[in-house]
Amino acid sequence: MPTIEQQPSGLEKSKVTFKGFEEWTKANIDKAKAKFNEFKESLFSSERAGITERWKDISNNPEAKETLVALARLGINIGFTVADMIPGAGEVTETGLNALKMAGTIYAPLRDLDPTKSLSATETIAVQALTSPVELASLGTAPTYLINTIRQTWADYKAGNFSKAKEVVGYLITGNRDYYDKLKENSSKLDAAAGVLKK
Amino acid sequence: MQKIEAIKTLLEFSLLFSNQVKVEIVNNLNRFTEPEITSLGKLLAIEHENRSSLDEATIKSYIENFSKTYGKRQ
Repeated sequence: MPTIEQQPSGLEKSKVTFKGFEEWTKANIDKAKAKFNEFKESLFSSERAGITERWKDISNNPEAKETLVALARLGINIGFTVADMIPGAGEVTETGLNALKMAGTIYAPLRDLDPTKSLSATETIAVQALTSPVELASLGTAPTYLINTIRQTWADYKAGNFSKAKEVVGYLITGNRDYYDKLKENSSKLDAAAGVLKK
Repeated sequence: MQKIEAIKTLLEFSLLFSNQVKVEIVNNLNRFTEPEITSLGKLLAIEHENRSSLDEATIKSYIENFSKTYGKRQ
């Protein structure tokens, strides 16, 4: 699979038809050759770029950014679920998060900080109220926040926020190494294909 | 290897088109005329042979160029 960097968006919104493609190619093929040969040094390999550049790439790609945010949200929610097993700490956290959610209804930017942003304030407060007897019975050790974690994770999954997780994280950590490895593995097949098409 | 198969092989590794456009191309390959297949094939072969000298700036400018020309044709 090509990585994020390899998905230019120039044509995304165009309706793809290929009438006149031949004319365009004929007119531009020499220009393309010249352009391809113009650059002697390969700057493309993101392996050379640091993580900061790759982070910038991801920040500029809304889909990739949403993936990272969803992963961060999952990590935070797992942390809160674990914290919920500590008597007292879970209740403070849940009450704090509900307060944040309520504040988010008044001041919109706060919604971005909400780790259960797909759930309404009514839902989370209802979960906290309904699970109170369980919390009391377990002396605050029951991780009832798990309900919120599961519901938020499911909402992110349904929204497709995890579909590119492997690709995005892989790109952030290794750049295009995977792409170049695959390119190397398939080099003879690709050379053969280019040979057929050049005729 | 047939031309269509060769195009599919090179297209998988091509940086000239977005994934969405690649899917459109593959789905429409059977409707392409022979000259269109030849042109697209040549373009992909050029890209492959010059892969080591490609950089992001080249690709971006090439895609922009493609988009402008392509846009005028719509």
